[in-house]
Amino acid sequence: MTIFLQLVASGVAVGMIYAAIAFGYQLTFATSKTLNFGQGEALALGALFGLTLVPFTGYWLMLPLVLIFGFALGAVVERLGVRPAVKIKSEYGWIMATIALGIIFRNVAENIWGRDDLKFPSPLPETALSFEGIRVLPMELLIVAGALLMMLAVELFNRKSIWGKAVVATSNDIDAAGLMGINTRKVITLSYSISAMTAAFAGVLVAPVTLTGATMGAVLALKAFAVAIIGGLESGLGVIVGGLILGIVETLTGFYISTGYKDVPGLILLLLVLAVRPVGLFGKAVIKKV
Amino acid sequence: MAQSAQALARETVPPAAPAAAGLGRFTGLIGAALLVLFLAAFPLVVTSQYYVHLLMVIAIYAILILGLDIVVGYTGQVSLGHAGLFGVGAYSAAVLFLHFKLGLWWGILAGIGVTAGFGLLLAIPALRVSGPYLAMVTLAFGTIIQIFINEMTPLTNGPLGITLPPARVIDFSLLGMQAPWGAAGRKLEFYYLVCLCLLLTIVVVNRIVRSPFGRAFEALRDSPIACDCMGVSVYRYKVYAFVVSAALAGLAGALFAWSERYVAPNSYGFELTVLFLLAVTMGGRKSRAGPLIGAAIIVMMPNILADIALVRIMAGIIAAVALVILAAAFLRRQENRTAILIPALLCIAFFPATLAMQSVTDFRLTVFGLMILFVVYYLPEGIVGYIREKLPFLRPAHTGEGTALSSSGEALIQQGGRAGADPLLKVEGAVMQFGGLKALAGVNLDVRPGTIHGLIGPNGSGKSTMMNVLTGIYKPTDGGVTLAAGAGSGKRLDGLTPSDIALSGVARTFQNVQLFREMTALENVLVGLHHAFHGTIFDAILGTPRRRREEREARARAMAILDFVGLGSLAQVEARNLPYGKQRLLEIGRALALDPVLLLLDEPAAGLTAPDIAELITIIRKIRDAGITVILIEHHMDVVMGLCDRVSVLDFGHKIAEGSAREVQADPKVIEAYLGSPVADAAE
Repeated sequence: MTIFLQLVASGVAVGMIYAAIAFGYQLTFATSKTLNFGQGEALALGALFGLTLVPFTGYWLMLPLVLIFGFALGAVVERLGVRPAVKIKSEYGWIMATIALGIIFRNVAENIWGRDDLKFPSPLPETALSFEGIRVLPMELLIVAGALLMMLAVELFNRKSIWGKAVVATSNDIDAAGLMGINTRKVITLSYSISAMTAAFAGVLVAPVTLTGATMGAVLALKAFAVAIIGGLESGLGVIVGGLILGIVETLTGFYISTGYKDVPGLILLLLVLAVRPVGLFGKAVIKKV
Repeated sequence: MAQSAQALARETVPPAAPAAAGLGRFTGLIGAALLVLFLAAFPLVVTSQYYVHLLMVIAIYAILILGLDIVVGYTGQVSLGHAGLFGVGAYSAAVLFLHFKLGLWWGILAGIGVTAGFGLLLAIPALRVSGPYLAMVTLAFGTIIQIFINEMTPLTNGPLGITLPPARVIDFSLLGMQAPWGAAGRKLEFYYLVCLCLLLTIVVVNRIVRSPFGRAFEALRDSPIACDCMGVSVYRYKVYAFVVSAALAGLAGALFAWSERYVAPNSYGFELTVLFLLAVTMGGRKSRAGPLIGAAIIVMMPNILADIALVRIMAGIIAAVALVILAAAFLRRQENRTAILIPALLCIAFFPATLAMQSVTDFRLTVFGLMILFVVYYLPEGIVGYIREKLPFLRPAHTGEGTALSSSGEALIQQGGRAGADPLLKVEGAVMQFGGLKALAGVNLDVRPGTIHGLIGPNGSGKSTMMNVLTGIYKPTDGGVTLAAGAGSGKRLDGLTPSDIALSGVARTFQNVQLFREMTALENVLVGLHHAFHGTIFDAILGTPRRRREEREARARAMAILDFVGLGSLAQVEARNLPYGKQRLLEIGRALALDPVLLLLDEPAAGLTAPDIAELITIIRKIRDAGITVILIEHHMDVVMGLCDRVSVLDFGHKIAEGSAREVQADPKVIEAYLGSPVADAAE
C-alpha cells in the first residue's frame, strides 16, 4: 500500500506538468480553434533558456525572464505559423507550419545546447521529505504549486482584466467579439503567448527532476494533448483531473510493467477517448450547424 | 437560358479547352513512358552502385508518398502516422526473415497485409475525428509503434535492429537452371523489382482515384455533410482511403527493409513522417508526378546538404534569382511587391549564411522546416500544381477514362403509382432539444406521395431543424419518422445514419450550398450516383469489365441529369467556378442522382435572380410530375404559393397551421406569426 501511495505521489507531480501544457493547448484552441504542434519545443526551449540563465541570475530571478521568453516565443509562433494559415483558412497550413517551426526550434536548440541531455540544478534540497513513509522530493512540491499557481494566475487574468475578458469573449464567439471592437487578431496572438509562456514555465519546473535537452518536450507535449482531450479542449480545469489520472497511471505502469512502456498508456488513452468520446470526459458536445 | 449557359462555359473553361483536354490525356501517357524509359535505362547508363541505390530509395519513398497522397490530397486528412506504418511494413518483412527465414516475396506479402491490418486498427477509432485531432492521434500511433518495436526485443531484436542478407528476387536454382544474366545483372534484379512495384503502384492509385472510391474521397474532403447525405458514408470511405494508403506504406516498408538490409527502430520516427508530408505537399497533391518529385527531393536533399560547396552555389543561385525577381517587381511596381519582400530577403540572406557556416548538415532539419513553411505559404499546390497553373495544357483531362459526354436514358426514374394514398412520410411528435431550447416541440407532419409539400415559417421556427432531423444529421430527442418504403410496411428513419437515410430514398439540398467544390459538375452528380456502383475496390484496381460498364452507364445518366437541370454544357466546370444560381441547380441535380422517392429542398430560391427562379419552378414541377415527392422550405411566398399542394407552417417549434396554400395564407395565426399581433395597435 505504501508503494502504491508512493507511486501516486510521484504521479501527481508529472500529472501537473501535463495539466499545465494541456492548459496551454486549451487557451489557443479556445480563441482560434488552432493549437501549437510545437508546444513541446516551447517547453524544451524554456528549460534550456532557463538553464543558461541560472548561473547569472540564480533560480528565482530566472523564472520571470523565462516567462518573458515564452511569451515572446508564442507571439513568434502565432505570427509566422498560425496567422497566415488562418487567413487562407488552411487547416493543413497551420498544422504543418507549427510542426515546421517546432522542428526548426528543436534543431537550432540542438546546435546551441548540444544533443546530449543536461542536468538542471535543483533550487531546493534534493533529499526527500518523508510523510508517513511516503517520500516526496521538495522539487515535486514546487512543481505542483508552480503549475497550479500558473493556471490560477491565467484564470484570474481571464476573469478580471479587460484583456482577459477579450480573450474569453473571443473564445465564445470570435465574430461577435470582432464586431464589438475587440482586435481578435491581437487576442489570438496573446493566447499563443500565454500558451507558450505556460509551456516554457512547465519546462523550467520539470527540468530539475528529468533531464534537460532539445527533445525533452516532444513526448510530454503529445501526452499533454491526450490530457487536453480527456479534459476537453473547450473546458477549463478538466485538464487537472486528466493530468492527474495520466500521471498516476504512468508511474504505476512504469513500476508494475516496465519503464520502457510508461509512455504507452497515455497514448492509448488518447486513442480510446477520441474513439469513444471525442469531446472529452468533461467537454460538451457541439452541435454542427448546417 | 441554354445560350447563356454556353457563354458561361466559354468563359470559365480556358480558351484552348478542347485541344488542351486532348493533350492533357496524353501528358499522363507520355510521362509514364518517359518514366519507364528512365527507370529501365538508368542502371545501364549510370553504373555507380551508389546512384542506383539512391534511385531505388527514391522509388520506394515514392510508393509510400503516392499512398499518403490518397489520405492527404484526396481525403484532405493529415496523417502523422505514416512513418510508423512504414516501420510496421519494414519490420514485418524483417521479422519474418529473422524468425522463419522467409525471404523477400513473403516479406512483401506480409508487409502489405500486416500494415493494412494495422492501418485498419488505427483507422477504426481514429477516423471518427479529423483535422488536428487526427494529426495528434496518428502521431500517438507512430510513437506507440516505435516504443513497441524498441521494447518487444524477443520479436524485433529491440534497439539493435535486424540485419538481412542480400535479397534474392528469383531463385533460379529452384528452376534447376543458371541465371540467364551475369553477376552484374543479378545485382539489378532487386532494382527492377522496386521499379515494377512503383509502376504498379502508380497504376493502382490512378485507377482508384478515378473510380467511385476516389470520387468519394474527394467528396468527403470538400463537404463531409453533403457526402453523407448522398449515401456515401464519410467514415467508411475514410477508412478505405486509410487502409489503401497503409497497404502501400507496408509495401514500401518491406521493400525498404530489403534494400537497406537493416532495420532499426529509430529510422521510423517523427522526422520521417514530416518529411513524407513535405514531399506530398511540395511535389503537389492529387497527382502522380508530384509524389515522384517530392520523393526525389527529400531523398536527395541530405546528400546535397552534405556538400557545402554545392549548397553555397545553390544558395547563390537562389539568392540571385530572388534578387532579380524582387528588383523586377519593384521596378515594374507590381502590386505584390511588398508581399514577396520578406521571402525574397530571406532567400537572399540564406546565401551569406551558408558562407559563414562550415557545415549545413547539422542544420538539415532547419532547412526542412523552412522548406515546409515556404511550401505552405508560397507553394500550397506544390510544384506540379504550380506548373499546371502556368501551363494549362498540362492540366489533367477531367473525365479520365470512359469519357461520355452524350446523355442517354431518362434523367428521372419514375417513382409514381402511390398518389393520393397513405402518407409517404410520417413524422410523429418530433422533439429536438438543444440545451434549454426546443427547436421542435412535438411536430406531426404527414406528407402525401406525389405532392409538393411546403414548409414555411418565420426565421428560427424550426424548418431547417426539421430538415436535419429528417435526414439524420440530428438525432431527434423524441418522436418518430417513418417512410412508407415499398408496399405497405413503413421504414423507421429516426436513428439511422444520414447515409442510410439517403440510400432509403430521401435526398436533400442545403440552405448554404454544400457542393464538392474541387470536383466538376459531372463528378458532383456522379457522387450522387454512387449507389449505382456495385463494384468492389478490386474491380476498381483491376479495371474489370463490370467497373467500366458501370462507369459508362453512370456517366451517361449523369449527363442526362445535368441536361435536365440545364447544366449540360457546364459538365466539365469545377463546381466552385459555377455562378451561384447554377450551383443551386447542381445541388438539385446531385440530389436527383440518388433516385429519391422524397426530395427535400432547403430554400432553393434563396439568392436567385428572377429568371433563375422561373427556371427553378419549372424544374421542381417536372420533378413532381416524375412522381418524386418534394418537401419545399422557402421564403419566397410566390414560389411557395404557386407550387405547393399543401403547406405546413411552423413557429417556435410548433406547427401552427396546415392546409392548401390559400387556406394557410388566410389563417390569422399565420399572419400573426409573420407580422405580429394586431392587438397592440387595437388597444389604443
